[in-house]
Amino acid sequence: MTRRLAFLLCLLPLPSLADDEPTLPVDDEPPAQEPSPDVPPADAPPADPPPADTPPADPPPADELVDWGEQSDWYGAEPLAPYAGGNVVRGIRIPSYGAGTGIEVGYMNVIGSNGGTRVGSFAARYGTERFGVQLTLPLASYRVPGSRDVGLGNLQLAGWYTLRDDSEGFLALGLELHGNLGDRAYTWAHDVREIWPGYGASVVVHARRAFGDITTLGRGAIGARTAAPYHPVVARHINLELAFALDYQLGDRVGVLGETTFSYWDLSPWDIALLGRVDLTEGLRLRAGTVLPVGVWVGFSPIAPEQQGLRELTLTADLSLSF
Amino acid sequence: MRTPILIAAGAFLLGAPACLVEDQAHDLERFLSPLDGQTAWPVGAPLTVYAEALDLPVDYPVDQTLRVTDVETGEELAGWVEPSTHFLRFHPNSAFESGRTYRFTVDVADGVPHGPSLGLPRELRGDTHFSTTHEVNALGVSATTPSELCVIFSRPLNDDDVGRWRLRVNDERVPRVVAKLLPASEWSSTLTFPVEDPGIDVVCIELFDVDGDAFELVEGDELDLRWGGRGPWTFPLGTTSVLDELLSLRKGAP
Repeated sequence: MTRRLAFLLCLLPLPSLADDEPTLPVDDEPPAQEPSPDVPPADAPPADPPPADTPPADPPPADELVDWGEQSDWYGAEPLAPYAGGNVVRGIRIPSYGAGTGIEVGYMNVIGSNGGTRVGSFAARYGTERFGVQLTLPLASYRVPGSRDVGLGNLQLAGWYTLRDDSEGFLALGLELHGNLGDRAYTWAHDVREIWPGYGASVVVHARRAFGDITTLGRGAIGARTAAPYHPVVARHINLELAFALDYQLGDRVGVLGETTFSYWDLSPWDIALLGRVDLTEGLRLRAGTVLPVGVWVGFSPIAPEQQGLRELTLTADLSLSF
Repeated sequence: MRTPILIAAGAFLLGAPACLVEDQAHDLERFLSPLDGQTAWPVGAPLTVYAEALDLPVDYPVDQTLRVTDVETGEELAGWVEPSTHFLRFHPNSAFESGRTYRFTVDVADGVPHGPSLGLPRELRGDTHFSTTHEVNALGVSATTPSELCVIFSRPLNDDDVGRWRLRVNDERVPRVVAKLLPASEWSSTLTFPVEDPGIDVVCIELFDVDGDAFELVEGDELDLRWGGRGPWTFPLGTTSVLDELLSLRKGAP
C-alpha cells in the first residue's frame, strides 16, 4: 500500500509550476541592457547635469511598472518577488493555494434527471508569501422524497505552506480539514466531503508551472474521513486523490482550463471539469464551467445503479476577489 | 496487456460495494404494520414500514413518503412521518376514525438522486388497506397437511366470534370440519410486530368426509368458506405455508 501510494505521488509534477499571473522572470543578475539610441554609451563623456531649475520628469504611469528587470533606481522600485497575491489558476478539485487574501462566492447546480442539488458557498482566504488559509462554508438546497430541504454543508479549512514559488513554478504542501457544524444536509454536488455530514483530514501536495500561455497544475492528496453512515456513502474510508489540469491563457484577462480528477474512495471517482475564466478587474475573477462526473456515467460509482449513466452534470460558477 | 487488467480490477473494486449492498437489502427483515386487509386497527396506533436495510438518517425529512387516504371520502389524512434508522412510522395528526377503511401508500423510491439510497425494498412500496371496523375477514389460506387448512383472519378473534363453519371444495360440500385456534406461538415466533399492532389470528380446520376419514385437498382446489354470517371467502388452494401467507400480506421477509 505504501509503495503504491508512493508510486502514485511520484506521478505528480511535483517540482515547478508557476503562478498563473503573468509574473515576470526575475534573474539573479539583471539582463544586459541594449543600448538605446537615447542613452549615451558608457564610455561617452557624462552629460551635462540638468539645470537646477529644471523640474524632474514625471514618473511613468503605474501600469508601466510591470515590465521587469528594466527598472531604474529612479523609481525606487524593488524587483518583485514571484508571489504577487491575487488570484491564481485553479481547477475544481485543485484549489487556490498561493492566492492572496480575498473572498469568494460560488454556486453549483446539478442538472439532468439526477439533478436538483444546488450549492452556494462562501469562502474567505488569507494568503501571504509563505502560507495561506482558506475557510469555506457551503449551503445546499437539495431534493428529499416528495419535497426539498436546505442545510449547511461541512465547514472546510485549508491551509498551505509554500515550499517553492519562483520562476520555475509553485509547490506547496497543504492540510485540508472538514467538519460538520451540526446542521446536516444529506446530499452532494461532485465532492462528497463538501456537504454530506462528516469529518476528515487530508494532506495535499500541490504544484503549478507555467509554460508561456499554458499552465499545468497537479494535486495529490491522501486523507482519512468519517461520514454519516448511510448508503451510498461509506462511513469510514481512506481517500486518495490525483488531479491534473491544463490552463490556457487566451489573453490578458481570459483563460480556459480542463481538469481531470481520480479519487478513491469517492462517489464520483473520475471527474472532468471544463472552465472558463475572465478577470473583470484587477483581482476580481469570474469563472464558469461544468463538472462531468464521468465515473458516474460509466458506472464506476457506488450510487444506485438506476442513478448511474448519462443523467447529470454540474454547472458551476464562482466570483473571486483577491486583494 | 496490463492496462485492461488494471481497468477491470478498478471496475471491480469500485463496483463491488454497491453490489454487496444491493444483495443484502433483500435478505434483511422487512414488513408493514398493519398488514394488508387487517381490521380492528386501533384508532391511535401509528402505521409502520420496517426495513432493516432502510439505513435512514434519523433527521432526514421524509414527510411525503407515507400517505393515508380515507377510502370512502378520498381525503388524505394529515399526519407526520417519524424516521428512524430502520423504520418509518406514520402518525396521524388526529386519531383515525372508527369504522372506516383506509388506504396506506408507501411512496419511497430508492431515494432521490444525490441523497441517501434508502434501502427500502421494492416489495414494501405501493398501496395496502386496513380498517378500524370490527369486522373479521379471511385474508388467506394455507394447506398445512392434505386434509387440513389454516385460515388467516384479519384481527384477533374473541369469545363473540362464534358460528358454524361451512366449507365447499370445488363446489363439493365438506361434510364435517373441526376448527381450532392456532396458538400465536406456532406462527408468530419468527415475526416482529410493533407493540401497537394487535395482530391477527389463525384458525386451522381439519376436513373429514362422510365416513369420518380425512378429506383430501389438492393444489388448485377452489375453496368457498363461510363462518356464521361471515363470508363467503373464496381462495384457490396453494402450497404456501402459513408463514409465507403472512409474509405476503405484510409484504414481509425473511
